[in-house]
Amino acid sequence: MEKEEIGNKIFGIVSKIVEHDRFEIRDDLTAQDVDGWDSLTHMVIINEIEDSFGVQFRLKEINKLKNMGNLIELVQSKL
Amino acid sequence: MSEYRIRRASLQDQDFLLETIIAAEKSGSDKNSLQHLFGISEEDCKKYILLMLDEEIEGCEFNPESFLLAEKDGMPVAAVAAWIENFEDAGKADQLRSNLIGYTYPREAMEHAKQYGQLWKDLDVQRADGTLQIEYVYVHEEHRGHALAGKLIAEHVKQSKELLPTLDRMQVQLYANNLKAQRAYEKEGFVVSSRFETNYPSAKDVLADNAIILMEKNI
Repeated sequence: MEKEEIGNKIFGIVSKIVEHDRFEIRDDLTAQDVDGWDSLTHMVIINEIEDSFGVQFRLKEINKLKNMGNLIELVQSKL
Repeated sequence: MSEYRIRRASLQDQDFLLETIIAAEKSGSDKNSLQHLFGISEEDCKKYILLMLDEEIEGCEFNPESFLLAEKDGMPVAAVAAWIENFEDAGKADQLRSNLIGYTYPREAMEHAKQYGQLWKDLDVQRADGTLQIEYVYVHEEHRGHALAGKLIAEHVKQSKELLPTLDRMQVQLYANNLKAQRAYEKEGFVVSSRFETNYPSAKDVLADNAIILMEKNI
């Protein structure tokens, strides 16, 4: 799956969970940039991404994530 | 009567760390957010806390090595966790904690917690990067009155400054109902820098209080 496609799918997941779409998927996007992406929604977002893409992350992998670019690359590496 | 000895905790101390975490979460109430927010049993909560400690993730409160212990006659009697927030880009503690909970707790628990989204948002206190974060302060009741918490915090400051000589501020968050602790911190030179409150109707069904205060001290 192409990075853009993964990004679009993640956009759908995140916007549904934070209940708005006032953000754009870009490599340097962080949780702090998205209103409503807090410590609770973070857990839900990661779980939903795992379920939607049918992948499973290791704890060390998600702890290393710094931004959206890292997340998209991680998902891509699992597909 | 033997003296108290301070040492770094390890996974071997997990039973006392579990006691510490639960007592600190309850903050004098009978509500433990790690249990009640997620709608799980006390036994399951204990099991998940131990699993999280077992991961030994640096830079957050669920790492045994974040804790200093005071022990007497070889038995731990007090504990305080501390870390430098996002030190060497290790990650924000709240994100590491969320990752740990999301990784350890079952999906049903996440589903249960979703209903408290507003409460979570209202009480989402941001930790400042590069500051010393103090968490999970606990002294067994038989050993209170010996200034053990203050001694453990002072030792954390000393050791953290060796690691980062420019370290100049520490922060602690506590439930606003814990006036005794607030007074103790004020005596140690902490001042209240902000207060976060939620009007979520059943907040006190799942948390020790519906408000959190952030206290700070220059070091």
